[in-house]
Amino acid sequence: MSSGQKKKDLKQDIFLKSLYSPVSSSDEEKRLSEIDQFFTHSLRISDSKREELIDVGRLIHKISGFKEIAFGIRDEDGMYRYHEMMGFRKEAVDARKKIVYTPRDMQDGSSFKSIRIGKFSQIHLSEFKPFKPGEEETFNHPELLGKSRANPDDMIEGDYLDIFLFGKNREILGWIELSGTKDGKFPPREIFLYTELIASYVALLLIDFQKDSRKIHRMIM
Amino acid sequence: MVDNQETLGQTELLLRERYSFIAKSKEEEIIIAITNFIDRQSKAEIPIKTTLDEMTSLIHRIFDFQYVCMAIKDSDGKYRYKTATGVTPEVKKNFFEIEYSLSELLDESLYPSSDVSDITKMYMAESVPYTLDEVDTYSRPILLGQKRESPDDMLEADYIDIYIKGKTKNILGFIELTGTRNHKLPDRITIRWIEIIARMLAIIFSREVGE
Repeated sequence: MSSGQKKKDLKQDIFLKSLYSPVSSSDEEKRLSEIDQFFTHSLRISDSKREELIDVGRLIHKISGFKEIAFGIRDEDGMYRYHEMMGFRKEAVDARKKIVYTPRDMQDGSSFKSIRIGKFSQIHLSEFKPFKPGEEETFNHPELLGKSRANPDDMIEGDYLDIFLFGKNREILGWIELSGTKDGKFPPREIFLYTELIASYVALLLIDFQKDSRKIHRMIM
Repeated sequence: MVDNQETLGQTELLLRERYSFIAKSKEEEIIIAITNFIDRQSKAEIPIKTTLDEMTSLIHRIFDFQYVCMAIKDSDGKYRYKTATGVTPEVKKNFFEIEYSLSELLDESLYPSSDVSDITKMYMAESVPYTLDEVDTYSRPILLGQKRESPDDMLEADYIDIYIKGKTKNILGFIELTGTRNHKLPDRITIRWIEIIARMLAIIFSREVGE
């Protein structure tokens, strides 16, 4: 057959466009659509760490329903600090900005009892008092700390999920802290797995930003 | 107090059971496979060829395609296949010998296609979307003249290209999918997932080449 005779079958074309139309019908498709848009945007804004993290926060909020999202990152001095925070009252943001964690704090798995889950995460429960004295102000509703849990799957004030961002040799690059779900319950497992997927991508982003910053540092030197 | 302790114990048990990292559905299997893939990228500097090999195998393993290939743009601007899974060594060799310029790749007179998204094109048997030189890249060329009985059939000559597009929508490469195990076109979710994989690869490749 010569190339000039080739034509697509229009009926089949219409069928395919209808079968794969971009309108999302299931919850899974809606989540995939959000992730797709995020990656598309991420490719365009890949020069700004702040913008990237804000976008990640929005994505996590849309997919998971977590209302409070904070990113902690290892700074160039090797210490860990909160960077972007969303869904917190001003006082909680200010209180978090004052906190500095050492590498030893980050590796410390014994001071605060937690439950290891998934691939990179741990859940802190309010009953274990997962904060240092004076850090009550880092919460949106400190007056609710210590309130008892009515049902086992209730997510209450003081509960939070830490997803660690790992680089080479399991060095901790930072963490994502999530708390306060819309329905007041711990999220379904597939939602949690999506947040770990997103976190794995954030780790990759931080590695790239680290490389860029080293490049810039070398150029300046 | 006893009640509180009991509820706390139930909460701990519930969380450990609910959030294990073992897939319990197809959706979870895909999420976990992609999470593990990205995690490996974070842990070491992985050559692009290894990234392509890993991703080709991952798509072949978790989705329903019989043949999965990936091509990327080389420094001379030509697109060449770098990986092929599910095919015989001979077919693989034939794939690796092919090269396309950008205009050949997008030539609708040679390869008529249906766009189903900004990065996905479907090439259907009726339009004969291959040249004589490419017949040897099919695993069962004898079936190339097969007739479609239902519009959702996937025939030997049908294939899907999902493009890996960079910042300026330039094509960095593509994922090619052929043949499903149930001989039906893939479902919407499968295409959506592989499009996400292509978007992710675009970010990885763009950073690699400092785009």
